[in-house]
Amino acid sequence: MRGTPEVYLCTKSVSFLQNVTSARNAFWCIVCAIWLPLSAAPLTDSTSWIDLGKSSAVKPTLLSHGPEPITLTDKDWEGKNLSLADLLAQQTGIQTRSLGGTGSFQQISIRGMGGHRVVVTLDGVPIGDGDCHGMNLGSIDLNQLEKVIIHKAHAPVELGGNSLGGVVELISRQKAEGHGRIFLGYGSYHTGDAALSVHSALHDSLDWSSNLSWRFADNDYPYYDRNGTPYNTDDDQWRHRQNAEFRQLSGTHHFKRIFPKFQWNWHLLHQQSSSGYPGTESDQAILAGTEEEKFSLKTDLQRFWGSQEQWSALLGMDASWYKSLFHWSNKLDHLGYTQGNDDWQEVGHVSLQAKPSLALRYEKRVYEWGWHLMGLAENMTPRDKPVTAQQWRWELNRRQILSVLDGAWRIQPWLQGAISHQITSTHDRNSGGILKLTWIDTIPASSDWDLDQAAQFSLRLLPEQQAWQAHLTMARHYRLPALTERYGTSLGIIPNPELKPESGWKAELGTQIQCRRLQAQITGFWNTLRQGIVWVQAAGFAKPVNIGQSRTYGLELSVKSQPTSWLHYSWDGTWQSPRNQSTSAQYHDKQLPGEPKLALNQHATLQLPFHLSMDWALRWQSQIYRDQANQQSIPRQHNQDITLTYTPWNQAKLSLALQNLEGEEYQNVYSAYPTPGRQYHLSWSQQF
Amino acid sequence: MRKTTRKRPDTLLWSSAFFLLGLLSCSDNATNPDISHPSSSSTSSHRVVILTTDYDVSGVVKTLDSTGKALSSDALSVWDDCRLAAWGNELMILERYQADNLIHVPVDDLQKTAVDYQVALTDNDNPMDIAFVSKTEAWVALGNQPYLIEVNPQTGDFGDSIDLSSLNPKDNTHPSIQYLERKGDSLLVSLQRLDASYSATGPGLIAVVDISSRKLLDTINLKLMQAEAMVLNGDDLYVACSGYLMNPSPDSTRGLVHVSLSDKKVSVVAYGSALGGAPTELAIDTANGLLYTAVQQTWPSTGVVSVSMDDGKVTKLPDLLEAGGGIAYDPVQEVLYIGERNTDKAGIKIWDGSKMTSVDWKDNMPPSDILITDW
Repeated sequence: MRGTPEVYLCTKSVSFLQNVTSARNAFWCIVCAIWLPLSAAPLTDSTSWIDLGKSSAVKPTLLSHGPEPITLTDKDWEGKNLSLADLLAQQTGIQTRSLGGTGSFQQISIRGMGGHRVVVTLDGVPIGDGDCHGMNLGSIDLNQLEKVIIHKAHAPVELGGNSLGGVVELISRQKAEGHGRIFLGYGSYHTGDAALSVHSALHDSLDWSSNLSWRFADNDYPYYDRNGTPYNTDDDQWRHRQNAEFRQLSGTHHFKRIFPKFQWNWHLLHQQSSSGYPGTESDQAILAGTEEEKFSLKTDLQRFWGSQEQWSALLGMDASWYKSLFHWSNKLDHLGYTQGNDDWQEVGHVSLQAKPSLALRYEKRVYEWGWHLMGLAENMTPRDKPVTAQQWRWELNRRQILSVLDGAWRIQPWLQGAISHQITSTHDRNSGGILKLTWIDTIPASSDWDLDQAAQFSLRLLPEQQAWQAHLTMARHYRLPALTERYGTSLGIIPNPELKPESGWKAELGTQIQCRRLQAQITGFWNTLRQGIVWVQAAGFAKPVNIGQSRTYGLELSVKSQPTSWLHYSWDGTWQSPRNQSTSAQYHDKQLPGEPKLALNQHATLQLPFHLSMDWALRWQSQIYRDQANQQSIPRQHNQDITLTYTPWNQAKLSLALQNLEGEEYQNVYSAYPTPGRQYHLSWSQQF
Repeated sequence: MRKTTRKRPDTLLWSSAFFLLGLLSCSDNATNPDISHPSSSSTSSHRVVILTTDYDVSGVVKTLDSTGKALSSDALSVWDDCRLAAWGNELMILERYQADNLIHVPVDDLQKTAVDYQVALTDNDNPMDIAFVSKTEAWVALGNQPYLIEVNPQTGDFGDSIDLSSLNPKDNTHPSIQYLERKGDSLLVSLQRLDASYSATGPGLIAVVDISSRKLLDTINLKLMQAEAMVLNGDDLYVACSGYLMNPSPDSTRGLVHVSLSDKKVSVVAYGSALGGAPTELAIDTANGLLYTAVQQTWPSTGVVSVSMDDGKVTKLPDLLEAGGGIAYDPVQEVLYIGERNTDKAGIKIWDGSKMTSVDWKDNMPPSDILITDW
């Protein structure tokens, strides 16, 4: 039906109902997560705790399994008021788009692969993989994190050895200098954050750390509203963003116990957030918003044996519970489709996951091999209000077994090779029922089974006594459709049980040179996507279809320099050709949405007298398009940030961040989600 | 946001006598010279205007070039969900839900600098169709409101309104207004009458409205559900009723309906079972006594059939996959233009009654609406 109202929700949302068994499933997931490591406890000599010193029981891997990942630490973001996605986009080959201010929906793409195709893990647990819109990086609080590790071409085997768009590993704070850290910040538009991190060695063999963070923002920044009429400037006016408040409480807690031959880890993650959905530039919502709750408990037990501890085994269990809700008012928010006749509407889902894992590894001086066996049991049920008689009360289940075999060899003293092969068996089941959009249709109950394989290979040249190294990586990866992509009944969404996995090839060739105070890295890459999942919109509805094809190749150049003791400088440039290769004439050879041909990042840190330092960052990118047909262009743009830091003594730091100095804002009128212009943020960090 | 003043009738005052008077007195060639059709101009031109939209979020309006076999270079970017309407050379683009604007631009100068005006309706209005009464008066059907609103096509100023809230189904704030046809001094308004969760509450309705008095005169029960497109031929009104979409099983909820305005007799020309699915778009070839309708099968598969107005004989047109991009019959060229939206075969197809040809489409986005205008 043409002209029928549509929902354009870029926030979490859509699909989902309710199931009375979910609470029971959650209980059993948690019980399993607790029981599994406890059942292994008798293997340990628990009667006496032996002083093992401060060293970790985890042995460093001897051989390289792929190109060196990019590792960012909290020094790269502390005090700068960056979001995780903004931080990532400072690296070569990574782009981002935010749909608003602090906490708003934000995603990244790596070398032309965005959304779901980028795997994001927090302490080894994939996050956001159950939602049809992909991971919202805006919901990650950087105050929780100690490290961010970016793998663009090569996927770590312990994380599945497969990712079309790359892997972003988030490591929460587990160490602290001293006993802990307090962080307080406040800035424009009533944006604030407070974080407390505590670390304690309760015993030589028992470590505990906890992080608790609170973030809030009103996001009521001014923006220029063109009223959705690009051919009429008379009705343009400055307005303030409304209904964009964001609140979040999150925490990570770790326990680590070290035994002579064991290490036993517990990770507890929790997050609660609520945010308003402000709508588009010209069509602001009044009451719409989202609520998210996450809870994850992970435990693993690691053991070494053999004469030189060449064998190791890791037994783990992760149980997680995730609830995502979107609510709105029919009368006030004008978001489109409704269910039932009540004014107040709510859609959402609850996802339960249990992930047992087992890893075996054997290491010698010149070679090593490993086998990872991972399982997944996922249950997803809707949480909708009101529940109408004709609504599909679906229940979606996924069972998965994943096996990764990998090996690494020191072929020559200066040459290392690594290879991995992953095979996954996935069984999806949907309960079937009555689907109601603006018509009524029947969705039959169905079971779908997939067998998918991924493989990757890398060579690394590490000449001894040489200031250069090089690497080559090739991979064939895939991505399974999320349950909500295959069977989702979001508002205006037509499910497609026939949806197949996306697949693609990736290659990377790079070299790194280091001389005196300069380090340079140049990398060429080539990515392809086949059977890409594209949301085809027609007649007011959208359906995911496997018609996407793309190819992105390019060069990344990164130069880091420290010409003097008081100046650090880095320059990161990306040239790429991100092209749509689909057979549709209107898309073929068009530039991929959100992907510039050229992007540059410059960054300088200047040490000043009187314990002051200044950090300057500039991002420039060439023209991009918001849409696949390349009709909605965004001109080339640049942003500059400056952070002034005062360090009165070693353990304290006072920072003033000035973001987007020119206050530039670029939005296409037909897809406009205004973001803040110039922002200020003052923060204080204190270690104790 | 543009604020408009709308007068809404306090009560529903109408009578069957008023209705009959309106119908008897109306004709397409009214005596008021201001509402004569602009095609009577001595320097007549002929254009096929096409809205192209992709499967994503983009829209561009173009025209066929003088050869009629390719698109011209003129282009105007618009919202991705629009309806085209014209009064001679004056093109009105109705940007629908979530844009809710009207754009006025000359057909023969489709470019940004030639836009006469773009005015915003109230958010959520969802303009569905427009009926021109004169150069300075037109009525806009609002899909998400219980009234029609008057607009001056020359200036974009909004004026009066005609209240149809008495036809709201239970639990909804509007009667789901779809399309408009003008019959002399009356407007014929198709209504789907969906409830708030988009379920049809009963058969579609045609509301008959007297323009001069702004009153609802009568309603006509269409027997079938979800009234969509309409065409008017003298006293004969044809309406496509799509029933429940996506379910092409033979049933009596959908089909083509004929309304004889002279005696209000309603009959079904062809049910959905004979058409092969749910009719959505409609065009008429009066010379050959044919109706053309786009028939949606399982989304997004859509074909086009011709239906004889005399005996209801249905003939399927060949080589169409997803013909959801609009249909329009050109009485001058005696061809039917069909918008094919299939991802690999998108473009305008031309049916001359015996064979199907294609417009050179290159890399243009798929068609979404087609309008033929002359002046």
